[in-house]
Amino acid sequence: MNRMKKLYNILLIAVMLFGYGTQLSAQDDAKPKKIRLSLSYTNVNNMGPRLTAKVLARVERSYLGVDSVTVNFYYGEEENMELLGSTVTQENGEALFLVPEVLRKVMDTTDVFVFSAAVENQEGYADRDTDVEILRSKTYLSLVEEDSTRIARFRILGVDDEGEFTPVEGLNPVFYVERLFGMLPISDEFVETDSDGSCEIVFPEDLPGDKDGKLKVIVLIDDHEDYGTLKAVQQINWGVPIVDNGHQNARTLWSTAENAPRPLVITVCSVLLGIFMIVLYIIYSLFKIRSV
Amino acid sequence: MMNLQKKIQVMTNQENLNYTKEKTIKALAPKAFSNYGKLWVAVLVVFSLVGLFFYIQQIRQGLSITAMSDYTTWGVYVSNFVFFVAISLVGSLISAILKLSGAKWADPLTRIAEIIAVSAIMFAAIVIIIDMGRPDRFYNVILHARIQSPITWDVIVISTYLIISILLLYLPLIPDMAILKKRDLGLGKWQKKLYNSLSLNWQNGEMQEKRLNKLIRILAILIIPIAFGIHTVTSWLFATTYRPGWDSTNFGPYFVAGAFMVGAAAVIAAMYSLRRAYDLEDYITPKHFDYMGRLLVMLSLVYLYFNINEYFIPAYKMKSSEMSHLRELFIGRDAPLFWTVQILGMVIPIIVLLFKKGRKPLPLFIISLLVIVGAWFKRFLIVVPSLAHPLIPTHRVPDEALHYFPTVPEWFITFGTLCGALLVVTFLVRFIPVIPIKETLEGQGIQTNE
Repeated sequence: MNRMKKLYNILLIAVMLFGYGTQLSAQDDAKPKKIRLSLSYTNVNNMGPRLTAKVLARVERSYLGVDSVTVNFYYGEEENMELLGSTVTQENGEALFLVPEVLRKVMDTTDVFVFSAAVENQEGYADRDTDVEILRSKTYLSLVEEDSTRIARFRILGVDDEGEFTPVEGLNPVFYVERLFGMLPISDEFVETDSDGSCEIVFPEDLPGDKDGKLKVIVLIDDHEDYGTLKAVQQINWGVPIVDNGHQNARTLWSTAENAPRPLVITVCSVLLGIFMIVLYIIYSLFKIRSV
Repeated sequence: MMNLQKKIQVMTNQENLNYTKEKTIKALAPKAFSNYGKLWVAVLVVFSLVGLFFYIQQIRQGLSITAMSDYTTWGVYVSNFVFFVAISLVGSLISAILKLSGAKWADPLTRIAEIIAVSAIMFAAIVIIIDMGRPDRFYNVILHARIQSPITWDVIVISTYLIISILLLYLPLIPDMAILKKRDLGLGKWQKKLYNSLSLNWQNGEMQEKRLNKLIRILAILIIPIAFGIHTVTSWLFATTYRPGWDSTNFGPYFVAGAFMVGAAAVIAAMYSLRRAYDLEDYITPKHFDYMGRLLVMLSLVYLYFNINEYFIPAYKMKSSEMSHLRELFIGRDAPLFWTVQILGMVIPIIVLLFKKGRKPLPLFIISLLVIVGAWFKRFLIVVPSLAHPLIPTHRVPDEALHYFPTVPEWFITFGTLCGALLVVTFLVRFIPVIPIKETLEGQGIQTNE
């Protein structure tokens, strides 16, 4: 009886502990969560812009991205806002929206664009909205060879008060080359556009490219308060071509499981076979002991 | 008349022997928990459950509830894993190395060592699955195993060591279970049934004994290279990288020496506790403590020698890649913990144990606890500070990413695994004799033929 009582007490403690966790999450679910909403504007090679809304919710002490939240995207000032469409956030809390073709034509004749993003009437989340105001701009990237020197040159024009495109001075674009897992910066942070809106760097000659030596060069102005994020991207065969020397299929320590070095496979298998033969012999002998 | 006297004498001797035999069996048979024992179990169960609760939280929320990051990818879990692997080596030390070298005095300690080894290696495997975050990832480790990877070797060697340790615990138990199942020692019905099936129809026949002794000897020989292998391979998880503090050819023997030291300390702590809990003063004597103390001081000196090698030579060269790591250890952020561990966990034990008085049961028990706690933190110092000093240049890394201190869930999960391992030891001790009965009886010159 006493044992039963003790067992019951232990189970009760366990249930209380687990129950506490469940209760916590239940409490979390009941209250609409406050969220943070940010909106960014990106334009690549002067093509159609892309809007990115990011939804973050407070989890313990930090803000983490929230998935499956519908974000509405609007165009225009508050009095004549037009709903462009909606997208749902991904695991990292980001919702991407490509500005439709129809609107792009309208934007070609406008100097200032106002976009808004809003989380509205979402179960479990408080309403939130935000907007960005972007000035029209144009970017140019030219990759040229002058006196045997490879030069990457970037130029930016933005609309002035009179609606004319004029060079933008004093911006700090960063030059990158796309790599497998990210972007490799090839310029330093002191590159600045001059009165012509231009800046240039000497392109390194020792970067590995693909098998044809192709590299993707990217110039980025990141989240500028007037122009948003602007990217100029161009591909060129200025890289050192990668020669496939068949290392992928060689039997090495760093290759795939199928291409493990034969001596290693033979050694490991022999040792294991030896050990487990002995273990099996011992188990077999135990049956013999039983039957004696 | 003379014949009758002789007969009476023989009968009296036989009765004496029988009396001693039954007394010994009764003293060594597993016993129910005392009130303190029940309290001990309750505490262990509660902390294990708390650890399990936080582990469930970790499964639900992911490894983000830990302080591990892109840089400190191995934290307290991996140092705890290395600690468990180290402790588990004691099985091979006592049951194999000492046994094969003819150190008869260690016979009563073999089972304690094997019990510790089995529970420690079980929890080493559990801890590494905890460290993976999602437990189903272990399936991928098996499915996509690369034989070139030390991680694969570690999985293989740990599984093998677990199987062999279980066999080495079980085989010498067979005659003891046969002895226990036949006696009315207040054992439960299921317990007797279990002993009956596990004793494999043991009749103490010559053939059975010959076979069993042969198997135990084979296992004792087999477990030595595997035990060395398990900790050497664990050290290779670190030493096969170029990281400061890990890039060492000394790491294999350094780990093995440290493992034998902490394993011996664990056996001493268990000896002392079990001796008191189960009144085993006649079987675990001050002589055993004295010998174990000598063994521990010898192992500590070997480990001290490896420590000097491990730190003095890199400090003498002060390669730029090692410099910041060594400075942090010697005079920087990790210095208080480093020097506490080296002094309390190694230097003081060596000094105290050199004196006979230091090898008396109680002082030796206290010293062993110091060695065990020191050894746990030593593993932490091996794993964590090296990760904070990566060789690859760090680029735009927030400062906090290079610092690691375990979170509350990590501490509770780690403590839960330590309590879980102690719980397994406690329950094994509850249901199997901690001192080999057959060997003890034979040591007293008593035949175990029933």
